[in-house]
Amino acid sequence: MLLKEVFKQALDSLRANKLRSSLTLLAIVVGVFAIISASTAVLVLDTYFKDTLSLMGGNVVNISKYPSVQMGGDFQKYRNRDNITFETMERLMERVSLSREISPDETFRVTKVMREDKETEPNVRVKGGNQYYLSNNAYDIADGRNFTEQDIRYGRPFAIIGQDVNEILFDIEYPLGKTIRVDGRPYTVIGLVEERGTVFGQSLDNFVLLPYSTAINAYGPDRNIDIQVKAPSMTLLESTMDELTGLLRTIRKVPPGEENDFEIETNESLSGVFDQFTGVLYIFGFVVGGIALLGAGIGVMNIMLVSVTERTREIGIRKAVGATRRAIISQFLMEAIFICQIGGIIGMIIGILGGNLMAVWIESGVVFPWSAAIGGIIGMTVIGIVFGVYPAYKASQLDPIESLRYE
Amino acid sequence: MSRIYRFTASIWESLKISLRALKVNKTRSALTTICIVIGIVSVTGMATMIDGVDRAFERSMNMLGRNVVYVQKWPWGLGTGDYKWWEYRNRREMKPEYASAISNDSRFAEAVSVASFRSANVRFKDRSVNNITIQGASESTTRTEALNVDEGRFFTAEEDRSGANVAVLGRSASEALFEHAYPLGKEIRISGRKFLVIGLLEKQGKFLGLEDVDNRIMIPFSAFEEMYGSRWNVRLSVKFPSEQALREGQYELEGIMRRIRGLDPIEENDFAINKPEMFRQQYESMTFAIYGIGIFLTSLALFIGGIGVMNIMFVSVRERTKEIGIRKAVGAKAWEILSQFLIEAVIICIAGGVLGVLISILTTEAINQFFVAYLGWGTVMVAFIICTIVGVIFGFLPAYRAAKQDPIESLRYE
Repeated sequence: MLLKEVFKQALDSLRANKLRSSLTLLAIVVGVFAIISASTAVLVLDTYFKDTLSLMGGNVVNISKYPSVQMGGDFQKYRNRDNITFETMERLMERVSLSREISPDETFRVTKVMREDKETEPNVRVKGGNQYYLSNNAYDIADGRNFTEQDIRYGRPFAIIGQDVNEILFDIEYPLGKTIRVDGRPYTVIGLVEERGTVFGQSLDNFVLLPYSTAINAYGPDRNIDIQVKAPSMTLLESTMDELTGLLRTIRKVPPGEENDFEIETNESLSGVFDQFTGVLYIFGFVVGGIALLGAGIGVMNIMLVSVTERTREIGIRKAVGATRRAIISQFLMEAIFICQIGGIIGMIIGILGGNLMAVWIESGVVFPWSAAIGGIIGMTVIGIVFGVYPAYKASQLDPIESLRYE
Repeated sequence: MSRIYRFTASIWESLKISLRALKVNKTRSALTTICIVIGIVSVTGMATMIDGVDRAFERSMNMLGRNVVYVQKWPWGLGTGDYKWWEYRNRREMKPEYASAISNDSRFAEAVSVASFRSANVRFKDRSVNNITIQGASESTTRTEALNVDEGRFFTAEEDRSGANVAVLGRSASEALFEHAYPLGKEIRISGRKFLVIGLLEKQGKFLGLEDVDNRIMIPFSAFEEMYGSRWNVRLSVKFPSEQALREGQYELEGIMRRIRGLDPIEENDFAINKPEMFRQQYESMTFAIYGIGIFLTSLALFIGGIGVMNIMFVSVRERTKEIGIRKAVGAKAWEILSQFLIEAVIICIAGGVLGVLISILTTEAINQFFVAYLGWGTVMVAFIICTIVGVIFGFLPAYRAAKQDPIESLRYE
């Protein structure tokens, strides 16, 4: 009942000064727009990074000699480490209890692939993998089949190809069962992988995948590879990493007390680096938007003060007929909160739209920043209170006798 | 004459009225000014950061040398659209002999130098430092790379030709090797070979904030060649006296290189002419959007300040309806009323501007602690101009409304 009355009063007084209210509203809208559009844009960037980074599934562990993102120049330290070899992987496969899905990741050659009179540019990655490689790297089979255990064991001359290679070599023909040539050796195409698109300007579909045993026969086994292990679930990720670390230390004979001589990381730890980057942007957007909002808040306070002065007589009359201080305070406070809320909601809508322009620009998915939206509504209430409380307090402190006399 | 007198007198009058009005409503004026201050601080803050980044970039560009092009095997721009590395890979390597051929044949080139780099271990007495960049350089490198020698001297053309064992040290390299000792005249060992330190380069800082260019030692190219060979990664730098000369000279250079390489007219270049300008273009296209967004977001704060001014001016006009009526009744012209309120708005904005710039000086210092920022006179000037414009724009509507008021109605206003 009381709330309804207060609400009505606020609305009435806003309506009475249309020009003033709309200008104040505009200031709030712009302020909220600034902060929401900035945080939406950062969120878009963040989602984009995360999407592009999820080359591997979230629960895949990557083991390598060098860290995937290297900061600083301590290259020497990593270079002196022993290579991670196919033998390391095979020994790991025998012993790991938590996961069976272990695959090697090694690019044997970057070269051209030929078929009859057609050939690609010499930039196709020739990779060696096994039956788990595709799922560990989030590739899906579009047509044909994956490698089987026998294919790997007997080193059969089979190949699974990416869309880029398919388009150049086969165009409109059906690729399965046909023969392609890499470095003069023939391979039968048994599978075609669905298109993945580009990441940071590099195509993910420009590759030929061979059974690693086949690739070793062609190019030799003496190389440093990455090993990917898929944990059975996200919850078992930690324990899988622990088991792998222990086994690798045993296999590579790392003495107790010494640092790991390999890198073991997940997609999560990788995206941490990008979190730092977007974190800085986020703070920047928040500060810049927050400053604008602060300006708008002060504008609200200013106008509320004017409003209190103008309505001194009204306040005097209300007090004279028995309005308590609380009633006066809530009247003005509600007015401030009300204007902030309306401005906040409009600003948020425009801001979310504006921020998503970024998504259009970098051709990424549209996001809706729930946390910012909820935070915005709470935040606008807080701003309404912070900047409304002084004028409201001032109004409540007016002496009714003096107020009635006010000209 | 009397017109001019009337004009100045009434402007003076307006100024006095405005100041009084501002003084009467202290809280209100102060709050409105704060709105403007916030706007100005955020815009100038952004501008100082942009200036800071730009200056840092310019410094890096100067390290590459002004009006210089590089002749190399590989073009710059790995990772861009159609970088056909598999074709560039088969190109012939650059030869140091090309340098003299180019400098003999080119009418535009001012200096041509050869450079090749190697990371090596350097020793001084029993102190050993890894990963110092050793640069084989020509005597003309001082001109192509715009290097200044702080102490001692650079090696001469004669030393360059004969492959004398002399070395010029960058600051970081010198500090790493000698700490506090005086390096000139000392003997160091680069990859085991003895060199005499004859000069110290001026400190240059980091290239694009990444690579410390002071962590290098320059030795005559022929000495470098004897130690490491010159089959790979030779870079020729050609310096032109002016931008104009560069524009014409690069085509001449292309022709000279094609002749040296003996290319048929239909064959493609098997070398790359790399221009630091390409960096600039990339930098500009990269930063343009970021700067645009930054300036846009911060100017929103200023816009909000402007709205605050406008709002308060409307209030002010309404409160003083009676006063305006009286002024008009005793003969004030519309433009005099207009100027009164405009001046009030502009005063608020300029006061906000002054405070804003003062605060910006502090924030610039603060930003410099963790980022680059530079507050130039240009920014300050622009800040004041913007303040005035904001005052005029956002003050105009209320002032116009005041000027157009009907004096009879105004006098009747309660």
